[in-house]
This record gives sequence, structure tokens and C-alpha cells, in this order.
Amino acid sequence: MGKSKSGGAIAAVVGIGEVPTGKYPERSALEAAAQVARMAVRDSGIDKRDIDVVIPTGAIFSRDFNSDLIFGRLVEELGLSGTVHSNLQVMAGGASGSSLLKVAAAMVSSGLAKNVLCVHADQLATGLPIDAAIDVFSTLGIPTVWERPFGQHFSSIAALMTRRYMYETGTTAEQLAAVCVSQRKWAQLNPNAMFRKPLTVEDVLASKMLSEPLHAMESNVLADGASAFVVTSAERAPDVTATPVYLLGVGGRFTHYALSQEKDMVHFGYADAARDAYAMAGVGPSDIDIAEIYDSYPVVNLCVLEELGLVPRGEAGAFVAAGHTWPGGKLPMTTNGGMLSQGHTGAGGGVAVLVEAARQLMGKAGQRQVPNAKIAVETGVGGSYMDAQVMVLSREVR
Amino acid sequence: MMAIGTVFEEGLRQRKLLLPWCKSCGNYHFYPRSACPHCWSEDYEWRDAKGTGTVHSFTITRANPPTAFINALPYAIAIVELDEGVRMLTNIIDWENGLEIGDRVNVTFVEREGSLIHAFKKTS
Repeated sequence: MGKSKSGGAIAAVVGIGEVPTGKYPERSALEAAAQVARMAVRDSGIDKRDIDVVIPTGAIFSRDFNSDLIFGRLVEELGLSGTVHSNLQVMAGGASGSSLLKVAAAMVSSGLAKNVLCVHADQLATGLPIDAAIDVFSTLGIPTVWERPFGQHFSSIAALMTRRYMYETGTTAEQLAAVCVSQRKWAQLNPNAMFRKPLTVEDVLASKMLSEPLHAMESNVLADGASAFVVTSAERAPDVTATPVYLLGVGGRFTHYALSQEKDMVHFGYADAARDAYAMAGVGPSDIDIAEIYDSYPVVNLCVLEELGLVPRGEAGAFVAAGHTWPGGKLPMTTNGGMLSQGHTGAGGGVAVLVEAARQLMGKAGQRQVPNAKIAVETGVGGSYMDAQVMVLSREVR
Repeated sequence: MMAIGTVFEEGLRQRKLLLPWCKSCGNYHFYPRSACPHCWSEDYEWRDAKGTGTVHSFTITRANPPTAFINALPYAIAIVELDEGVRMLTNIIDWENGLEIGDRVNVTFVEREGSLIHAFKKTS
């Protein structure tokens, strides 16, 4: 991707919106989508008539609702018919936040669009019958013939990764549980998070064993939620808002579809993706103030901390257990509480960490604001950790 | 030409673990694809796997499985690296006596919902 004329910035996030994550049976997904869309556009300072592209990502709970998103129901709901040039869907599972930003950035930096509204909404806690909800994550993204007949599901995917990671690095169960504690400490400061009660390593290890070595409290919980962000060009950004967040670098690697085909299920594609993103941004790991890591299971945070070069390989467990990623720590990580504590809204887990990265750099994170946060790295990944995506975001153009 | 999965399943019915081997580049691959993923040649043949391999990772699922597996609890899922160099997701049937990464395993065949699927057991 080429760089714009505004220093090294590719594009800018100028507005964000989010509603609380959790169980909200009375709040329809459409209502939530429209609400966060209005919040994000208002937050950006851009007139709604100047939003020329709307990109919803995918919803999982309802095929009808997802089809409606594809065919423009949200545009009509927002009263943007006549001014919007294109409505299209970008769906990459958990990598959807990063992928939405990549596509939107490409459109605004090339002049194909002026202002792009990216939206996610899903209703995974209350929009599905209970059996269907259980089976959502034992079917989606798991090969029908080659993995499903053996009882593969998302807890076992995480467990297979965790077991191998522990084997190669010597990481302990207590250190993995500490990731959940770190996420929860941030969630306690996040009014939009689903789980806000204090949590200890002992609580995590005492929870039910799902698939060894993965405990119930190391598993994310399906939730209703919605979030949105507005992307404009780096040139236009300072004219529309006082708090633009610039996209400086992107990187990504697709490494497998079926987990069994992943060549390296301890490291995945993150190191290569990060190298590309840092090179494009002109920064290195030591420049990073916040790591907004797409979690979903503790092992992912540990792997990503190491692969992004933020912690030496094999030392992330001890780093997190020492409290370095908690509020007040030297490397704040996943400051919205992540999917382990804010909740798993499908493709929205990745949109939420991207929105959180922007929120922190805009200085709008309230009680959990990280002081002087200038540069954030954000990650997303879809499927069974198929495509490591790394974004470098900054308060300044550089 | 028979569908790719059909050949593999026919092998299972005969208690054989068949692997696609590319006549063009000489590499195995698994799971079977529409063409060799290494060189895109469609000219591959099916070879009998030796049926031996090593446990790359594994888990014992004890709770919250897919609904179709509730009565199978607890069960062991593993990624096994075959001696031919390919990896496959499978089950381990005799995990109760202990299982570790690096354990040597042999293929066996078990019935599930009326068809045979592959599984592995520890090499004695």
C-alpha cells in the first residue's frame, strides 16, 4: 500500500462508537448497529452527508440480518440513501477490525472514497437458540470432513495451541491464567465490558476444565455488542477532528485454514506481519506504548506479545504474571478487557480492540486512559488464528 | 474421476489411510486438495500411509463439546504428524494411560455414526 502525502500516514481513524457488550435481548442488532454508527459519525465531526462509503462486517447470529447488512439496510436506517456511493461487506472473522481498516484506508488514500463508516453488530448471546449458540463455534471455520468428525471445536483448538505453546516455552498454567487477570483488571475500568468482577489466578485455575489444559474462565463468552469507526484520509483528518488517529503501518500473513495445517502453531504469522507493519510505520517494538491484542484465549496474548517483539520469546507468561500488562504496568495490553472480559461478539471482538486502540490514542478512554499513549499496535486474527493482522496506529503523523 | 473425499473415505472403509502423492513434484499432502498445493499439478496418486506418526499436540475434551459429542466425553483430539511429513487432526483412543507430545502412535480405525474414521493409539 502506498503512503499518503501526510508524512508517513496511510489514513486516519477520526470517530468511534460502541455500546455495552453483554446480554441485551431487548436491543436488536440493527438498533445497535445504527446507534454505534451515529455515535462514530458524530464523534468524527464529519457531516453524515459526507459519509460516502458504508462497510458493515459480518454478523453471525442471523443469516437474514447479515444479508440485510450486505444489501444496505443500515444505510437506509441511517437515512444515508442518496449520499452514500457504496455499501459493501468486509468479513474476515476476528480479523475484521483490521481488515475493515485496511480496505477503508485503501479507499480514502486512493481517492476512491472520502469518508468511510465501518460498522459491526451481532447478537451472539441472545439472538440464537441455545443449541445453535453452542454449535456456532464448533462448526464455523472448522473443516467439515477433515476436523469436525473428530469433535474439534474452538475450545479444543485453543487447547491444542496452548498445550504446544506450554511444551515449547515452559509457560505455566498460572502464567496463562494471569492473562485473564490482566484482561479483567482492565475490564473493571470499562463500563462497556460484560465481566467486571475481580478475578484471581486461583479463580481461573479452579474453574471447570473444558479441554485440557484450557479452563472455562480461559474461554471467551459469546455476547451481544456493536462498535463502529470512521476512516478518512490523513490529509483531511486534522481538519475534521482535534484527535485524529493515524494508521502508519499494516502487515498480515495468512498461514492456514485448518489448524492441523498450520506449520507453526506456537508462532503463526505474527512475526512476519509485525515486521512489515513496523517497517511501513518506521517504528520498532520499543516505540509501542500500548498493545491492543486480539485475545479470545490467553495463549494468543502470550504468543502475540512475543511475536511482535514486545517481549522475548518464551517470556511473555512471566511478563504478564509480573503485572506489566495491567493498569499502571509498563506495557498496557488489550485495555478494553478483550474478549475474555469485554465479551466475544463474533467479528466484533477485533473491531472492539481496534476501536479501543483509537479511543486510547484519542485520549477518550476515561478511567482506563493510559497517560501519554502515542503509538499503539493492534492485532486481529480470524478463524483458528489463520491470518495474523498487525496495525500500527499513532496520535501523530510522524 | 471420483471426488477427492470419496477416494479417501473408500480407503477408510477398507481400513487404509490413503495419502495423495504428487507425481510431478514428489510431495505428499494432507488433507487432500483438488490439486497438489505445492506445485498445482493435478497428477497425483493415492498411496498407503505407513500409519505411524508422532503426537504434535493433543487435548482431552472434558466439557462443553459440540452437541453431537456430549455422549463421547471425555475424548482425546490430537494433531499427529505422520512419518510421511503431513499433519492430520484425529482422535487418540487409548489416552487414559497417559499421553505426551512426542509420543509415537499408530493408525487404527473406529466406527462413528455408521462409518469408519481414523484414530491413533500409542505404539506399544
